[in-house]
Amino acid sequence: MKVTKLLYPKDTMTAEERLQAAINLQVPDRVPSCPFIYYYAAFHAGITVHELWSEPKKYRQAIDGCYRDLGPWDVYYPVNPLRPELYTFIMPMKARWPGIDLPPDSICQLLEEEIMKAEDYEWIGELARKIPRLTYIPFFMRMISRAWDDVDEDARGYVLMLSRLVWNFANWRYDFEQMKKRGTTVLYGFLPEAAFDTFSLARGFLEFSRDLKKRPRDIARAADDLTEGYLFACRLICAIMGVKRVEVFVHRSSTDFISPQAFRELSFPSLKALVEKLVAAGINPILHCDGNWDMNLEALRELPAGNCVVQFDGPTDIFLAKEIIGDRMCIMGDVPADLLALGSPTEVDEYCHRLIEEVGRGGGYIMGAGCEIPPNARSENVKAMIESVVKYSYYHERRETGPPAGVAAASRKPYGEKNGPFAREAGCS
Amino acid sequence: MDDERLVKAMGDLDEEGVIACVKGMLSAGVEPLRIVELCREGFEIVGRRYETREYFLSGLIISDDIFSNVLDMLDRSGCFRPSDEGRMGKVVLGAPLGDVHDIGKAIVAQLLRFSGFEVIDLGVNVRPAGFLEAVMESGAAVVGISTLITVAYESLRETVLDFEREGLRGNVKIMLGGGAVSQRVCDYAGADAWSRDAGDAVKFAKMFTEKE
Repeated sequence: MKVTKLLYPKDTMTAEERLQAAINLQVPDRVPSCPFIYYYAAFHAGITVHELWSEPKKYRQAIDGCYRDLGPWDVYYPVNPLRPELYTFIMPMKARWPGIDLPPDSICQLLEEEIMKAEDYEWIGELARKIPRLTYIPFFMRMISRAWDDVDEDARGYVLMLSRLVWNFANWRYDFEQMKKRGTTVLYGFLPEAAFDTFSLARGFLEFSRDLKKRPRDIARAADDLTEGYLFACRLICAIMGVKRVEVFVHRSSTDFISPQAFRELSFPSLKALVEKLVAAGINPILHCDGNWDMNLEALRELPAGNCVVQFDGPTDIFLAKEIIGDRMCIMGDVPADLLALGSPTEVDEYCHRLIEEVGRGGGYIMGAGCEIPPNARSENVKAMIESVVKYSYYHERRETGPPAGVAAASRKPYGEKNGPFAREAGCS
Repeated sequence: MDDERLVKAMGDLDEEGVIACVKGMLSAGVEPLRIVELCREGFEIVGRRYETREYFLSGLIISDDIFSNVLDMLDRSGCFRPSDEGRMGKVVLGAPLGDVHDIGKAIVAQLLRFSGFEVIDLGVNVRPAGFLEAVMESGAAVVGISTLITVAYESLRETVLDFEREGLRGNVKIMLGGGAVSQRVCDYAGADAWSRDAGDAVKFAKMFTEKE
């Protein structure tokens, strides 16, 4: 099903056309909005997170409530694992789960424990030699079996996980169709963690830091070995879901965790290979770049132009990012979580206006929260963020000033000079 | 000469160099406390390089490992006297109610210990009164609370209010850390300082204890 409905009276594009134009660095009718609502929907609807993530009907009602009260918005960001193991299928970590080992109204919390062993780097190499396109499944099955007691790494475990995945994807498909009917498009069909970052999560950051010193080549080689498997999983699941975009989480490659040199030598090669292969397969990658990327922005210029989105969550200077990569990739974000939770609608409006004026200059920008709308966001703040694109961003009404995106390197200010109080911050809600 | 080599090796995160230096110094009869002090000097270089973004979090973790290995070696040597941990003062650390993330706090705890503070680590998911009780029991002048989740904001505020209600707020400095904090959160909670950078915790703790 295609998105055909226009959302606002002055719109001349559908949400899908608008999103794709922004990704392709063309100038859409206005800036698209993608608020990143998931936990927040439960708090807005007055249900628990446990209910949100275990009862599809309640999830739909909660999202519908947000859409009715705060929307419409252009792009739906689907995050609703119906079982905890499905979360581990993306982010291989042990977790405490609402309604299981946390109170039902808590948010999920990930634990920094070692579920991947050092010898697994070599095992990944063996997998890649035997079944290069299928590495994703056995790798994550092993991680899931170590994170959760009720799934074993055997035939029964595979059948169990397959049935749960089918159930989850069937629900996703249904949700996607409902969204498209109301004129909202869907951001992605699948959402893997980048291979290097997967290891950082699965090893736990303490062990992974030791790996960076003791066995850096093993990390890079194993990340490379997983690339074909990642590509196959992305292509397959995107085809099933009917959305040719993939969210690639890059949670652990910022300078909050590793040096720019480690990023360049160990993380970026496999990330770049995956992004290039996805683009070649007609899939747009959306890089979810948590933490501070100021010192890694130049590297991102090597990724295919006009095909990728980079999503920032606050610590990165998004205005600097516009200067450095704005002529190469679409930028998304980064309304801060603390602003949405503790600020006023006027403050949110002012910040969003600035994002539209500066990062939205000439196209290539998607309005969104940094990482996600926090559970305790004020609804009037969320509404102010969503409304800002209608108030300020119609390109035919704007008189744009300022330098074009991607100005010459010589005119850029050195790192640190332009950075505000977020320069050394890390993490997201 | 050995002193300089040890400080440099520690600052350069050269584990083999540090171990070789420590072995040599122990054989030569150098006092273990002197070795610890030199490692701390090297550790300060690590801290400075972290501040200037020459080193990153993974580097801090490696320096933590090296320092821990040195302490183990000294312990095994049998001639190690109790350290002077605590000479700089006491710091109560914890993650607030509702937050079970530990890694950032654990790193801050080690940095503070290596800098000479005694750390009372309350762990994660600490109720507001838990911080107050720990301060009353230990006499600590600094409290550090680390959080990665925005839903903990109320708990941060409640913790600070507990100190006010007990009339202890004037004696205790409260610093916030972690990915979910900002100036706005610091103001909301009524805390004294905030940072998303582990290294700043030591800077704040030194500043707060020096003022007293």
